[in-house]
Amino acid sequence: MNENFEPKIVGFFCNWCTAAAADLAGTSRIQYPANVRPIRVMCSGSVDTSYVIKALLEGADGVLIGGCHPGDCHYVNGNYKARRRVALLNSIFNTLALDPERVWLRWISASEGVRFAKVIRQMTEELSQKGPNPMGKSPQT
Amino acid sequence: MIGIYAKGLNPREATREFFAELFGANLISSALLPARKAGLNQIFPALLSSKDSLEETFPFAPVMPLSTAVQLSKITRFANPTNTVAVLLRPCESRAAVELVKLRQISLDNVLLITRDCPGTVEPETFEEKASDTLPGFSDFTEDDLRPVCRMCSYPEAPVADINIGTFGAEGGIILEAKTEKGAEILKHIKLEQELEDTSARDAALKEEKDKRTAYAEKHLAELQKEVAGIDNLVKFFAGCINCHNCRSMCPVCYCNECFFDSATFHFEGPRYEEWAARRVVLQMPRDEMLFHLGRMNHIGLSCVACGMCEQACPHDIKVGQLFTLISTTAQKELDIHAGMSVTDPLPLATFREEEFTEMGEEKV
Repeated sequence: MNENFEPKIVGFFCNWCTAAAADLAGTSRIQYPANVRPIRVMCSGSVDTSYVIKALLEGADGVLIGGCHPGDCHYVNGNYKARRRVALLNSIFNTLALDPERVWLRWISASEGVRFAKVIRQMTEELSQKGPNPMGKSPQT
Repeated sequence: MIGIYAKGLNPREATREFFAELFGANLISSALLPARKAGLNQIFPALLSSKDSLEETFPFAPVMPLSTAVQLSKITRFANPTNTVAVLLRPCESRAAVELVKLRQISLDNVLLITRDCPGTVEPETFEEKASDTLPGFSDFTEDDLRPVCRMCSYPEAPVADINIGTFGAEGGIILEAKTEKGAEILKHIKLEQELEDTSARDAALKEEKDKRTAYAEKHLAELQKEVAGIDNLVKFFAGCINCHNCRSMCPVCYCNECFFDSATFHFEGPRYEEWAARRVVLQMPRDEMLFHLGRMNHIGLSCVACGMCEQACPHDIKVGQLFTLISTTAQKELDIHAGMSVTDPLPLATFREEEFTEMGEEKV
């Protein structure tokens, strides 16, 4: 593993929870690695997996989808739909040996600034161990 | 109700006879059947308005230029409630039709859904080569001529139908089986040769066929999985892809009028491409072909009926249908969501079960 490797994480954060948790982590001055490129979306259920795949193909080392805890979705059930979609993505990536471990789905509520920082720390660490994403390295992808 | 029909005739003639009876008794107003294009050696679905043209139909021609399910969606739009359209579908077409019903693209209200057992199909080119004045039948081809997806198909009999036309286990004629009340009502008006009380011969024949195909599929898909494992191999697999989207166009369950992958979502200003080229040294064009295939797997993987129309449409003979069979059968098994099994099943990607995948989204243990 290259010591200087800094993984790039693309984050799709739900407006009502994870995006607010990110703000909370910031205003509370909780330290976490600056490896994540956050994208605020209205709901984790609005994230088509095509965007996740696009990010990975364009060189992201991991993708984090942050949504509300089950039962807490602002739109009643968007997070459940996101969960099923990620389960399908996992299955397909597993079959094709494309490393589903680079795609994380995490429930992080608006009050969980500490948890948000912890997830980012954990993910950055694990992706550093893994090294660069081979999907984004090929000139053919 | 299950019984033998027209024992003295071969399945093709018996099926024509059956449809003639349906027309004759005014049980149907029209019928969508595979028919020979006038003067040509091509078999395409045709909508018949009377029994007079049944001579040109070839219900068991072992070729499938396209999925008839898509044509069914055209003729059931604002259907006349007083008419009944009979349609003859293969198992994969019936399963695609079920998916299209779930997607609100087909209404079965005025449809008499007739399916028939399917031993498999060959590519249209293979079919044409063997065709002369007379058209070839299934027995004119060897096992190796069959499309690989057909050899792997675990549905010799359609799971959803009003009436199924059985050939497995039939000794002369066809086995008619009503699978719904609508089908039973129709069969009351049809002269069955004899009721079939003992279906063990048919069950055994179907089981034997399924076992043979399952064994082939297991071996074949395991090899394919090795061939595509990892991004480099996947790139190799799709190397000839020209991004024409033919596979998508012929896919019966890809029903969107405007496809996400035809949209301008990932069109960028010219200089961006140069930036990316500079970063990667070489930027392969066209972009997004891998995104298209992986994205489509995610969009329709849970609705895929493994008919292989995508593969038949591919100008570069990429084994895309076999790959979709691999990922869709695996995913449908793992997620316990099965395509084409019931019109009352919920849509896979618009619904959820609270109790599924509960470990996801939580911390890893």
